[in-house]
Amino acid sequence: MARVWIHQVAPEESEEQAFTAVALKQVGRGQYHIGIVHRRDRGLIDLLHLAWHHDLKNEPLRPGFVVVDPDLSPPRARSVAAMCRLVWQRHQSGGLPYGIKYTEGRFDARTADLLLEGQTCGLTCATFVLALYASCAIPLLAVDTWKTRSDDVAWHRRVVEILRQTGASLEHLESVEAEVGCARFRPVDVAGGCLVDERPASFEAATTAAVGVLEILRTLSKDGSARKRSQ
Amino acid sequence: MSLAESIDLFADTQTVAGGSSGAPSAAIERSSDVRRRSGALDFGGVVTVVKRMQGRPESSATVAIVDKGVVEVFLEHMQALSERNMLDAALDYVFDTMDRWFDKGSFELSNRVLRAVDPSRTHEDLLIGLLTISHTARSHLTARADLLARAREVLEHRLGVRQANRALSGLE
Repeated sequence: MARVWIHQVAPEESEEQAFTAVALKQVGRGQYHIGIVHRRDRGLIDLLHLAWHHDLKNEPLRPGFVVVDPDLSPPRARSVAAMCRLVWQRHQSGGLPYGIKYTEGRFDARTADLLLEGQTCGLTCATFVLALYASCAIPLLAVDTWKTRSDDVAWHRRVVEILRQTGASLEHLESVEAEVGCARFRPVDVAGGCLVDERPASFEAATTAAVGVLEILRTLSKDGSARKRSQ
Repeated sequence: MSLAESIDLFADTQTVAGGSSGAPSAAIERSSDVRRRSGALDFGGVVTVVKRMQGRPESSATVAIVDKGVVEVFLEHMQALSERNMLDAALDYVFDTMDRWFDKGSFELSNRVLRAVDPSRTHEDLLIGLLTISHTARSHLTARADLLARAREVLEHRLGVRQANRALSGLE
């Protein structure tokens, strides 16, 4: 059964079983965006994603995303989808803060609030996915194995600059600036982690598995042709 | 009262929250309002459901008074949705309600629900849902470990040991 495929169909009702997976798309040179796709029985496939600072979105999945199935048991997949709906219900109006450091954040079932530890002040699109799965007791990545990479800091600084340009509060900017230099969890790392059978996936295992996903994304960005691949 | 009738209660009746038996009064709220503020069910006592009999003038309406515990109402509603094959709606109800209970610190009520769940007559997706939504609050939920053990037994019987382990992985 395919664990990675390119989503090509327009949003429509589906008779298939409820499920959840992650979906990512190239949004610029070397830039990717990721969210969680979730579906009810006989429902649309929705994409829940943290688009930006206090901008949480839930919308029908459009064609062109690469979907990666973490291969959960059907009852667990249905619960993750229910958690997606709960988080969307609770946070659709206020969104969630954007920040770059992640230390096993999760949504607390006691409050449905986002819980972050230490100096962490928000989530990226990738760590939002990690936090939501972690809230369902499904740790996708072994967070404590994550390594910093040479181009992380440049990306961090760009985030801070865009936050500044888009009107984030001074307090939030200072908090995010204090996180610059931390290990970055990239969207393709999360997608790679979904393909590793032994959870949580280590840095090495997830980044190795991510190579195949990146290849599909590059192919897609070149020709966008309809195809489905098995991995 | 059958499960189907309990669903009808939610749809067609008025609910007095907090009373033990009283007749309809200004305190009556429509059940939809009560459910919208699901915290209203969170008083750990008894919900009195007043059912207006269909087809009778309101002035002489005969009312059937049924005292139902909050736990029973919760589980009956969950089961009724499940039996109508509305599993996602049942899960949304479970997640939303328990999340609000946790938010209010109503862990004893949550424990009573977890104790009252009968895994043998609960769909496996709902068992996993109950264990999922209660996972991060598990340190407050003394009844959760017992439900986990009872659910494991049932899931192993229904799905086999391997699939049961897969479904329960991380929820311990």
